[in-house]
Amino acid sequence: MTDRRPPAAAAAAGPRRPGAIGLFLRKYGENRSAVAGAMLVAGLVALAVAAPLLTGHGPRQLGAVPLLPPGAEHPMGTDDLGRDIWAQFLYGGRTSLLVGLVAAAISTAIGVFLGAVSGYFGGLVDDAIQRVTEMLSIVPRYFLAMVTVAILGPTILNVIVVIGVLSWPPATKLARAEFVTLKSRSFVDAARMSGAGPWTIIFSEILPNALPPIVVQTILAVSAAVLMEATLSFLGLGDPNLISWGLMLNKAQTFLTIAPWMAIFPGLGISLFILGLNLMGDGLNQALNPRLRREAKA
Amino acid sequence: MSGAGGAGGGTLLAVEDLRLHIDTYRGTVRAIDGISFTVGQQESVGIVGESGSGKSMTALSVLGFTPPGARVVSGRVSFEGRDLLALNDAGMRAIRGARLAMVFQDPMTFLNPLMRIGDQIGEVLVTHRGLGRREARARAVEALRLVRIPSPETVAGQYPHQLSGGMRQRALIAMAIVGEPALLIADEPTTALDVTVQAQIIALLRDIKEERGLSLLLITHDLGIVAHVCDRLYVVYAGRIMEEGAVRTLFARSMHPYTAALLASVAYDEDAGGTVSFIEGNVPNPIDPPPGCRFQTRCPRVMPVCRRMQPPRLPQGGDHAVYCWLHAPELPDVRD
Amino acid sequence: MSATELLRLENVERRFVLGGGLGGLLSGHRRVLHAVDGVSLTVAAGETFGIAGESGCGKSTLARLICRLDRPTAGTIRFDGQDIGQLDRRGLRRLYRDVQMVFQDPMASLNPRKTVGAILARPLRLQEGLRGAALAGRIERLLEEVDLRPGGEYAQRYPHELSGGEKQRVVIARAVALRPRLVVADEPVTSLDMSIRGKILTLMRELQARHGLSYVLITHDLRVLRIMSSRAAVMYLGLVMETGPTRALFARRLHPYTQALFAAEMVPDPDAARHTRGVLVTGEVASAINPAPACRFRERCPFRQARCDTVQPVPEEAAPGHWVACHRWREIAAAG
Repeated sequence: MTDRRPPAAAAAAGPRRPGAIGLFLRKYGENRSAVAGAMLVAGLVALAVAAPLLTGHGPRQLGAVPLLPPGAEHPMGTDDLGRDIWAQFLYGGRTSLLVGLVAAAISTAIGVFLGAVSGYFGGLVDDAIQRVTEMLSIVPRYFLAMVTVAILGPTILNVIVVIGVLSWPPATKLARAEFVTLKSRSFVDAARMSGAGPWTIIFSEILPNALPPIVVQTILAVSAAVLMEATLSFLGLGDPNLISWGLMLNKAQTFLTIAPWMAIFPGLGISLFILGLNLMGDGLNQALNPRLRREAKA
Repeated sequence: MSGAGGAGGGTLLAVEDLRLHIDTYRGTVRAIDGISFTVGQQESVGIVGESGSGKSMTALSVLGFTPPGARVVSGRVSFEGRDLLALNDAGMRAIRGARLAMVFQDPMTFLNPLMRIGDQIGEVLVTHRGLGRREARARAVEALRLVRIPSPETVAGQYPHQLSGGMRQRALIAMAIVGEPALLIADEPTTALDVTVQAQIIALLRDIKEERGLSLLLITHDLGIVAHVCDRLYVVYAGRIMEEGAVRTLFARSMHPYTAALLASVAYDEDAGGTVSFIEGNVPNPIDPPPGCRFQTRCPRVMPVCRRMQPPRLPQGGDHAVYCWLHAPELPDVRD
Repeated sequence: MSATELLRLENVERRFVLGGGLGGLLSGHRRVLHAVDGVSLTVAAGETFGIAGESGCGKSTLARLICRLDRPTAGTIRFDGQDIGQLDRRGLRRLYRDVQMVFQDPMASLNPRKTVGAILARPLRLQEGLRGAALAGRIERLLEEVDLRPGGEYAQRYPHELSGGEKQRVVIARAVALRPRLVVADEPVTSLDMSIRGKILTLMRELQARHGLSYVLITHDLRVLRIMSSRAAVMYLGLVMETGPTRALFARRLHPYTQALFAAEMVPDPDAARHTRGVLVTGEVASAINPAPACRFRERCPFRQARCDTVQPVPEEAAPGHWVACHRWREIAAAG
């Protein structure tokens, strides 16, 4: 539809940009499970951030009766050394979230860059990048991560970098597909004829248009990274100096029959966080897909 | 066959005061806002409008293909005496397969890519007439011959992707006429085609209409195609009819400023120094349309009354009628 | 061509190897699309040169070649005497001060994530080094030059907040921002409503008169061709079939394809339409993959002879400046 109010009316209506964002929020808000997902994620992030305010115990503070079931003093019980599991849950959440966010940021940055270069330039560069991406996709990621962390040593930094560096193929494939489609749009030709170089075109013309699916992909990457960190910690390859949900699960193995709460709460944390992120990803996907863009036009 | 519109025994399709609103996130779009028209037996009627005029939506609502979120707010669509809006899906399907057929702009969206052309055309006959496969196939080949497809037997065995754009459109027309419909609705049937192929398809539609004695409702933005195909014409703008009448009358003596401006914008007069004419401004927002006449925001001859009151249908003799205050015998008093 | 020559194409060829992968290598025969197959033409300063043709005739590829968005596989394109194929990056940037393009689909040619102001600022900043208030003022004047007022307000809008006609005016503003000498316009009004096409064409003519620029106008719409161009070429499957002054082309159609194309125009005149069928040729545009050394139009040509199948016709000058590539043009012309 090609309709517009006269400029005067539009000016009176105030800034136009919030219209698109408002529309997005309405569309997202209509998806109940997506809202639930966002609330779940926001809730867990809030707990992790506000950890010191929510518990009087330190996560490593000893002193309570060991293996105490959940009760008034210790809402999630205590572990084998008499430490408060609620405190561990909160502080462990910090580690898991940090690893998830930073590792996802790394993998998305690498993936989008390689995908953009691959899709925009095509030819031999594209072939080379695609072959490497395929190879990395074939090798079992968890195995590779375990070996690498075992060699480099299980520090939090190593864990983050290894997860980030090994997780870029999905972002690359996605970014490449977006760039291949978008580079044939005539606004790219127009930018070329405006005198813009290839990097300006990649980052300033095409990338902003490829962002919606990349955002969705990043959210899913966070959930994958959280899961991977938990797995590594569970297998004893996490940073032993930092509590994380995975490490808590690792410790809980021995006492699974006598103190199941040691496993249940960190397990619940991981499950709910991943569930929340995936629901959010779905919701964003629906709210950001081209139908919205078309509607914004109407 | 009864005269549904009451305007005489020859009326095949009568649409009365049709209003179709579509709910979107931005508000309610008044896509069709009170449109009435008729199509007579063996008549060829055009509905002409630009984007946002509601012309395609009109065709879709007659066919019972309204988009999600669309509501028919009011109106009657009677076809061969039956009220189509009152029919359920099954009843509508039965009519679409037999008496009412359609041809659209993009044949690929209406052809099943995994089914042979002959089978797709014959399917209408198998489901609605209970014909056997072999009989249906034979009739399909016959239909392909009718739409001037060379070697129809070969084409019947092919898949849509093996055909060129013009051939696909011919196949779609064959599919439309195989059930021997009384009315063929064509929505921009040639917009996607090359100029020389468009001419072929337009000529085909004209011939088929004559040979099969069917009625044609043609939805288009192209006044040239209307001039070639239609007997009568409705000019629509922003969900309402502006002017209606015989094609020759409207082209020669248009009375509505919109019709006049539209005709001027497609005319080319070498002697006039090759000047081109156009309409200033934009189509009004269908969510918040202007009060009064829909064209008042762009009309060069706008009067105070046009901004306040919707013009009534003013008959001008014969089929000709105009919805414009300029031709009202007297104007209502609109001063505040 | 008495006026100064601005653009010269000499035997320009653009071939695309299709399915060039392993399969093509193994099977030994390559499928080569001859999109543009030896086109020579000149455009004078200040004139509008029209290129007409149907899909697959190579007109859009030609536009991209002239703008150096693509390179010819053979032949040279000279702008202002300079071979644009030899330009390095700096030379290319200089070329884009003089050569710009107006694209077919205004929605696709404006970055949806950028404001109109940001879109127009890019060339002015990169090529003229404008910044700050000088830049903003220039953008505002530019927008008002294409009748988008107030310019300052339009500069803050996003493309989706504009109508189709307004978008195309932004595209034109971008094209003329650097005061180019040549603008290649690829179907500039095809995607727009009839009533506003004239607005864009009028604007293009005003800009031409004011700045003395040249247009290469690519269109399938013969009305646009007649309104805008002083000289024109009719292309078919990568080749120029006929070229000459536009008036002469319409008055004396020598090539059978020109005749067929021009006859297919749907003239909006009901009286004329009743007597014409518009169909002079059957079939559809063939493919330009691995073409034989013969006339490209032979399969659809009503005047086909034996030599048309074996010898590709060479353009002959039928009248001063009027060239035609057909073996039988003399007979056809004599027959009227």
